[in-house]
Amino acid sequence: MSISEEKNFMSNRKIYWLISLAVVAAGIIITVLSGVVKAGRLDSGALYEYKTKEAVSVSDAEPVTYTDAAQYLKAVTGYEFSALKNDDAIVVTMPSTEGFESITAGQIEQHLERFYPALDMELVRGEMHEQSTSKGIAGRALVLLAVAFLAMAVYIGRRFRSIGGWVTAISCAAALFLDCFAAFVSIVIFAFPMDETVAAAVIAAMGCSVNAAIIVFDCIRENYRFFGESVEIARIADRSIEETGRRVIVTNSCLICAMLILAIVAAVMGVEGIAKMCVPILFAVFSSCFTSLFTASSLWVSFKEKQNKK
Amino acid sequence: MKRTVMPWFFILTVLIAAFSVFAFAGSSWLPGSPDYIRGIRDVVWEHDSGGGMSITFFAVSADEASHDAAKRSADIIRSRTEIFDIVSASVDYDEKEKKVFVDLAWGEGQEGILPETLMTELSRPADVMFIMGTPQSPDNMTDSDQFVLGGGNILSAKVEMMPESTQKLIMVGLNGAGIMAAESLRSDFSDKTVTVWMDNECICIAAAGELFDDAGNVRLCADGGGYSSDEADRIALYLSNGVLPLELEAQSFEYTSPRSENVPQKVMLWAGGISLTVICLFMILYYRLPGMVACVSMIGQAAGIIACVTGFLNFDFIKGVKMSVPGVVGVIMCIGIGYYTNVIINERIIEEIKKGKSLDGAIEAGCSHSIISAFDGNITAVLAGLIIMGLSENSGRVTTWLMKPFVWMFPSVSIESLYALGFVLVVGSLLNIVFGMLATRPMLKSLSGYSVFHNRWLFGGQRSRKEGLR
Repeated sequence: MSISEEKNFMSNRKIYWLISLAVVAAGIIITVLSGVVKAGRLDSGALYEYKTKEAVSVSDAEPVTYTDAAQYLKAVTGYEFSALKNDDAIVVTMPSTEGFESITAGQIEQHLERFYPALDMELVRGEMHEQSTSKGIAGRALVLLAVAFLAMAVYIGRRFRSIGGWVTAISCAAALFLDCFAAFVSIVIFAFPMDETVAAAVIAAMGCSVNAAIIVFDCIRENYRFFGESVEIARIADRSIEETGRRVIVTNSCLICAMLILAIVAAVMGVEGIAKMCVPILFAVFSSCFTSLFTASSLWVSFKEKQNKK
Repeated sequence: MKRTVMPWFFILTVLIAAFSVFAFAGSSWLPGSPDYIRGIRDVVWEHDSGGGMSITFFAVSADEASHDAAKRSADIIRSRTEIFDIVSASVDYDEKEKKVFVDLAWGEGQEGILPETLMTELSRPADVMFIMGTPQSPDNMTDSDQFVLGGGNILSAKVEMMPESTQKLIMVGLNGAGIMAAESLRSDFSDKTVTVWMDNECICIAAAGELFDDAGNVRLCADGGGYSSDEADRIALYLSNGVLPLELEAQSFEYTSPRSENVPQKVMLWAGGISLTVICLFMILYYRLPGMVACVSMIGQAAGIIACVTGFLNFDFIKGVKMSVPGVVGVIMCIGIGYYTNVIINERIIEEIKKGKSLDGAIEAGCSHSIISAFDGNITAVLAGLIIMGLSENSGRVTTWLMKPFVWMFPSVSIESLYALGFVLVVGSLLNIVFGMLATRPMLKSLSGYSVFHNRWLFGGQRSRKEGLR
């Protein structure tokens, strides 16, 4: 039995690795240049968001800056504050929960209304987290991210025992790592605050992006079983990529399309918190088109060839 | 030979359509029908969508935090939420970590309650003291003031109308020791003033003779009259629930003011509808008949997800899942991955047709060869969903127990909004497997059985001259 040599993807495997490494390097550079990832809910402290009612817009009412507002709050309460303008709202944050017991959201509102007499304010959002809660959430999110990564690698290893379980698991894990990295870089690029919802989005993206690798390796397993030792490993991979390329692109396109529509609808209707989940998923799934077809399969071929030489 | 065709495509399409109508609209639209089936309007939303609050309380004194104390505190807090007319309240506790997790959703048209007010009222000890004398507070008692009865003596409290008044009073029932003390106070010190305190709030000042009746009950009324209806209900609820066994302090909270409309629900419906339509059109144009089958299957899956979220059948013992903003992302994600099994099947059918197999043979081979790949792909999504469900801790959930060995070293936290994302991902992936295995294959086979549809081109193959002429 033989395979026609129309497409020879595996002869370019070093190029795929270089592309993958270049993307990782670019991601690291972007992260370093953008500074440390912004901590969101994983940080401790208190936050209050007051919507300013229609009477006067915030910009009309500000001969004074928001730094002044924070200084005013510090002067009257004795605690550290920072204040920010966010469209038609004023966001007040306390960097620690030290003064939380002593000052209420209602009191802050009164102080702000005294500072901006033209504005009528209403509390729309409040958050307070002590250090232990924040650490608990951060720790859980990171550990469960690692658990998800390992669980998927182990599952793939078990399911693809017939074509070399651990070799397949490592190849898929490498592709999965690149997809997760793409999701991480998207968080840095769009300056999303790193919190538990973003971590959950990355775990969900892992579950979906690994599907593409499973499609490819399922086909490799089938062709490997069909052709056996009579055909070179690289040719089996070439044929599998050719057969599954369309499947991978169509399945991932459906997910990308749904996520794009969601991000647009959420942006139009002004729902916060959806974009920061959609974007990492989009990046991870988009990346999985390349990593599953080329990075994972080329790594698998190299590992298998080395194994066979031994 | 004449082909016998089971009309599975039409049977399943009608069944899926009927199921979808009920899953989305419920049964209330049927004239004269009771609400047996929950629709999308019955979805309960987390505080991040319609407004509400989640609070984590921890016990200040670690020694007191026995299992019973933690459970009792959670029960008392749950009943205290009635004071604020909160439509949806879930209260859970972690006995080991000495924490009580409270999750509240505001009702439609509910006024905003300041977070501090809510936290103070829910976690106040409600320690009741009857003091003979008029101290400024229970902490500032003088030598002439005397403690006579405590919250431990109270058995019940109910609100009654004051005679010839619109005001209300609270009738408090006492235990044996309390009745004995009340009788001696009434007979020996009837002119003496007794003040009744709940924490540092004076709730009643009256002479002992007026405060205690002949049967040993306490007639609580405010200084100089009765209580307003709300005030009486609030105090009676605190008194009947008893003292909070744990001294609780808020460790974290998240507050969202009441919203005039549920925008995340609108986002879910619009984004879901648009993505279903766009992807369905693409599938039909790209895969033709199998694309149409994929759309029917996808509509069934979407209805299945909504049915699982609402609980579908309107019985008290069937509980749905609280939806949240991450849950909305999960639903749309499931629409995106819902075509996974069908795409694999359709691509395999096209491949088999290209290899020269007959249409029936290609459908059979396509379906049977795709199942393992579809199963593996969906199981990884199920794994991801289960792990996300484990991020949110709740004492009664299997996922909390499953994830505990990995996160035992971290303090327990409640992130309820993520539970919906994990749940939807698990349900969506499982439905994808079920519909792929049980619906797609019979529908494709049944369609190919009709001579009008028995055409390779309609199943993604190239149009042959013979078929092109037909």
